[in-house]
Amino acid sequence: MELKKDLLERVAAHVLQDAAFVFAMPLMEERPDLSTWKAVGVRLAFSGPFDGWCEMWVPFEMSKLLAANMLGMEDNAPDAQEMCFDALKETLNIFSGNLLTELAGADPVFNLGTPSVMQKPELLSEGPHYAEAWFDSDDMPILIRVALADQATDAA
Amino acid sequence: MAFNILIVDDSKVTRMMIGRTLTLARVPVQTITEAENGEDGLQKMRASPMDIVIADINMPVMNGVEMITQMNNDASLSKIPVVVISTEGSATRIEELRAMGVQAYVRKPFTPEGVRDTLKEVMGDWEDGAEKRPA
Repeated sequence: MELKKDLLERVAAHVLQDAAFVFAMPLMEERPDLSTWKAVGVRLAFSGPFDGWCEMWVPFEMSKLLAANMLGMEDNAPDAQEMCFDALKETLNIFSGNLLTELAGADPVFNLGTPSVMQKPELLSEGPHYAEAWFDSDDMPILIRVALADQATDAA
Repeated sequence: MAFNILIVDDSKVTRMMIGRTLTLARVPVQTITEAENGEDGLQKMRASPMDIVIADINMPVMNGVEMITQMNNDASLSKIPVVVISTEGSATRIEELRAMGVQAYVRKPFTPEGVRDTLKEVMGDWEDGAEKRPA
C-alpha cells in the first residue's frame, strides 16, 4: 500500500471543506517550527487489512473555527470553545474513514478507534515512518500525519 | 405529525450537527434525544418511544452494530427504523448493516440535503402531507 501525498491532500481538503466549511490549500510558505508552534492535536488508530494511525494538528484558533463552522455559530461562542477538541476529533474521524476507503477500496472493513488528544512532545517525536501533509487555511497551518504499519509512503 | 428522534453518537459535535441538520431540513420534530453510545441509546429507547434512531457505528462502550443487534432481539425495539450516519465507506460493512435491517446509510461528511432525502425515504415525505409512520 503506497501512501501518496496528493491523496492525503485531496482527502483532507475534501473533508475540511465538506465537514467544516474550511477551505484549505497545500501550505506554500515555510512550515512552522514544531518546537515553538502552538498547536493542538488528536490521533486515531485503526486496524484492519493494515493497521496504522492518523493525526491532525492545528492552532487552537483553528479548532475553535472547526467547531463554530460545524455548529453554525460564531467562533467565540461558548459552545464553540467548549467543543473545539470534539470538533477536531470528529474532523479526524471523518478524514480517516474517507482516507481508508481511498487507500483500500470499498470492500475491506476497518475498525476505527476513538480519537484521543495528543500532547506537544508527541508532535516533536520522530516515531515510526509516517507521511505528512501541510495545509494553509486563513493563514493558519494544518498538519496531517498518517502512519501505516510496515508500509511504504512517499509523502514524508 | 412530528417525530421522536434519537441520535446516538459519541461525538457531541456530531449530535449537535445532526440536530441542526434536522432543523435546516425542516424535519418535523417532536423531540430529539441524544445518547453517547449504544448502551445509552438502548436505555433511552426503552425509557421513551422513538420513531427513528440515527446512529453512528464506531462508539466506545457499545458500538452501533451491537446496539442494532440488541434492538433486533427486543420485540419492543425491533420495529424502530435505524439510519446509520458514519464515516465508514466499506461496502461490505454497509451490506452487513442492511442485512441487519438498517434502513439507510449516510456517509460522513453529510449534507443537510442528503440527510433530509434519506429521512424522507425512510419516514415519508412530510412536506406534501404524505408522511407515513414506520411499520
